[in-house]
Amino acid sequence: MNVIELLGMERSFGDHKVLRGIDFSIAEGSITGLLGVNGTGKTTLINCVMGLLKADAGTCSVYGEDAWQASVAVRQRIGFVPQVFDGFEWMTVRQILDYTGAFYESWDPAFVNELVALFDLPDESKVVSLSVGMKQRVSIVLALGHRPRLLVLDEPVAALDPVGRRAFIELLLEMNRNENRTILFSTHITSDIERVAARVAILKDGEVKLHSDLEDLKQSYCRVHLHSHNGVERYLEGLTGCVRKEIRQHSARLTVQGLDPAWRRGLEDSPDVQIDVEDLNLDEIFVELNS
Amino acid sequence: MSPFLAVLRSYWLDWPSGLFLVAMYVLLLCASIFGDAGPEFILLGSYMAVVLVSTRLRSTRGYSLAYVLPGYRTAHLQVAAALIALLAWFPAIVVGLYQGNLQDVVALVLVVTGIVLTGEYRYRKLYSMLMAFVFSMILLVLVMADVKLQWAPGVVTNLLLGAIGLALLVHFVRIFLAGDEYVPHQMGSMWFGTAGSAWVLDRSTLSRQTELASFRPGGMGVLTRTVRLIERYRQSGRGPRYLDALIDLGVGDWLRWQGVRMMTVTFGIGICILIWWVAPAERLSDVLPRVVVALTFTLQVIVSITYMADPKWSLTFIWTRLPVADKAALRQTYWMTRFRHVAFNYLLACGYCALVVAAALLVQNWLDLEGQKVTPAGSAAVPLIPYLATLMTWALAVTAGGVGLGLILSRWKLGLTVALLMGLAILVLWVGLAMWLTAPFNERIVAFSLTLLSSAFACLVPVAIWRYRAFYDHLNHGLFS
Repeated sequence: MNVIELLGMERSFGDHKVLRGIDFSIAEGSITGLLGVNGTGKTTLINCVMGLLKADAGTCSVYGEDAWQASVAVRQRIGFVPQVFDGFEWMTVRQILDYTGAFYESWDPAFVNELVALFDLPDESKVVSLSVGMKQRVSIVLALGHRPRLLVLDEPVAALDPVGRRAFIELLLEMNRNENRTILFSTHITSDIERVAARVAILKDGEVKLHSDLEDLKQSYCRVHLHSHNGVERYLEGLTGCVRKEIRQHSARLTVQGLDPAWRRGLEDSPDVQIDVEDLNLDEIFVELNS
Repeated sequence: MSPFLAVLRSYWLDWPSGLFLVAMYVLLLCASIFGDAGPEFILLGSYMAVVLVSTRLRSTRGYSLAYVLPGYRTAHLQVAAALIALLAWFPAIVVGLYQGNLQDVVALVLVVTGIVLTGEYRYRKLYSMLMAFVFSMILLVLVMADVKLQWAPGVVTNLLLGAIGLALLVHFVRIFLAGDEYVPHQMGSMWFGTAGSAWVLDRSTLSRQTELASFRPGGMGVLTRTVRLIERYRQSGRGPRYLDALIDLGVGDWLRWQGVRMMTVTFGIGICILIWWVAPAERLSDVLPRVVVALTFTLQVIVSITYMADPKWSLTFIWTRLPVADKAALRQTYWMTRFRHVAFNYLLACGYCALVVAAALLVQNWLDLEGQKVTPAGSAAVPLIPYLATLMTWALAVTAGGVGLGLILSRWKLGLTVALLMGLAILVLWVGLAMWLTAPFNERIVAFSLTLLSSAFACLVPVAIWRYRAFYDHLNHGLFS
C-alpha cells in the first residue's frame, strides 16, 4: 500500500511554477530520501504532503485522503519535523511537550522522556533561549513522541551536530527496522541518505527526475575515463545513456547511466584506447545530474 | 490534559495575552455592573479580545506545528466559542439578543466569523489581517448606521478639525504619491500627526537623504538594508554616530514609510466605505472632518508605535554583528539622537498647532463681532485640546520609549515586553483621546472609540509581532544566549 501518492501535482507561487507535475509515491515501511538543489521545491513538496500548502493541480494524498483535508485520524499517524522549529517559542521545553502531547492519543510520555534524555534537552528552558540545533532536537522529539506511522522530515539534521545527527539517524533506522515506520526526508547531506535511505528521489526543475532504490541507482551510474592519442570522439559513437561528457583533445570524462557492456568490451579490446570505469557514490551522482 | 485545556492553558502561559484577556473581561464586568454600556460595548470589547488572541496565536509562527496537531483547529475554535460564551453572563447582550436586536445578532455573527477566518492559519497573514480590518470596519458601520446625528458643532470647532484633518490628509497623500525616493524624517509626522505636522519638516532631512540615497533602492528587505548599512559603516571608518544616522534613515524611516503607505491605503478605503454607507448627505460636512481626523489619529498611533521597535532592531544588529568597543557611547548616541528628533519635531508640531488654534480663535472672534454667536458657553478651551493632547502624548511616549530602550539595553527580554505594553498603553490613551475629541455623536461614543481601537489592534498587533518574530528568528536569538 502506498502511504503517500502524488499524481500530476503542481504548485506555483505567483508566476513561478515550483512543482510541475509531480508523480511520486511512497510505499508503507520504506525510507525515502528526497534530494534536490536549493529552490527545486523539496520543501514545497513536503508542505503539500503535510497539507500546509494546497496543490494547484493534480492530487496529493496521504493514507488515501486528500492531504489538504486530511482527517484527524490520518494526522494522528503523521509526525513532522520542519526545516526550522515552528512552534511556540515562549513555552519551556516541558510545556511544549505537554502541549503537543495533549493532541495525540498515542502520545508516549515514557518514550518522550527517553528522547529528552537522549537529545540532552533542558526541560525547564524556554525554547526561545535554545540554539538552532537544540530547537531542532525539540522538533524531533515533538514529531516522534506519538510514535507516528509516517515520519516526514524536512532537512532535519542540517542544524544538528555530528553527535545529534548520529543519534537521530540511528533512531530512524531502529524505528524503521523494529516498527516498520514509513519515512520521507529531504536533506542536502547525501552521506546521511546513503546510511538511511532505501530509496532516493531526485527533484529537478520541479519534477521528480529519478526515483529508485539507492543500490540500483548507484549501480546504474558510473564514470568512464577514455584516453587515446588519436582522439576520443570516434569512440563515443554507439554510446548510450551518457548523462554528461567532458571531451578534451586526447581524453574524455563521461558520466553514464546503464553502461552498455558490449560497448565497454569493445573499447577494452581495442589497443588504441585506454578505458577506466569508476563507480560513483550518491554525492557524485547528485552533482553530475545537477551540473 | 485535553486539547481544549491545552490551548486554554497556552493563552495563559503567554502571559501578556492572558493578562489582556482578564483585564478586558474585568472592564466589561465593571461596565455591565455600573450600567454604563450597551451591547455594542460588550460586543466590541470582546471582539477586541478575541482578535488579539487569534492574531497572537497566528503570530507565534506555529503554523506547521498547529496544523499537524490533530484537532488543533477544533480546540482553537472551542476556546474562542468559550470566550464568547462568557458574554452570556452580561445581561445587556442577552437582553439584546432575546429582543431580536438585529444589529447585535449580526455583530455577534460577524465576531464569530471573524475569529474563524483570522484563525485560519494556513492562509497568508496578510489575508487574516485584512479580514480583521474588514470586519472591524463593518462593525463600525453597524454601530454608526443607526446613530442619530444630534451633534450640532460650531463653525470654529469644525474649522479647527477641518484644518487639522486637511493638513494630515495632504501630508499622507504627499507621502504616498512621492514614490520610493521619498523618506520622511526620523520622527517626522509620525509622532505629531495629532497637531498636523507640517510638511516643512521634510526639508530638514534633504541633505541627509541625498547623502544616503544610495541605500534605498527598491525591493530590499529590512535585513538586507541593515547588513548593507553595516558594511558601509565598516568601510567608512567613521564613528558610531554615522552608523546611527545610517540606520535611522536607511532602515527606520523606510520601515515607517512602508507602514504609512500601507495604512494610508487601507484607511483610505475604510473612510470611503464609511462615508458612502453611513453619512447622510446633508450631514456630510459635519461627519467628514471628524472621521478623517479620527482615522488619521489611529493611523498615526499605529505607525508611531512601530518606532519603539527601531532601537531594538538596529541595536541588536550592532550588538551581534559589530565589534563596537564603546557600547556606552553608542547607547548615549542613540538616546541623544532620538531625544533631538523628538524635541525638534515637537517644537514644530506645537508651532503648527498654535497657528491653527490662533486662526480658529480669530475666526470665532470675528464671527462674534459680526453678531453671530457660534460658540456655546464654556467651550472656549475646546481649540486648545489638541494642543494639550499632543503635549501629554509626547510626554508619555518619550517616557515609555526611554524606559523601554533603557530596559532593552540592560536586559533585552524584559525591555521588549515593557516596550510592547507601553506601546499598547499609548495606543489606548491616544486613540481614546482622539475619539473623545472627534466623535461626531453624543451617543455611542464608547462604541465608536472601541471599534476604531479594535481596528487599530487588528492591524497593529500582527504587524508588530510579525516583525519582531521574523527578526529574532533571523538572529537565532543570539542576543539571549
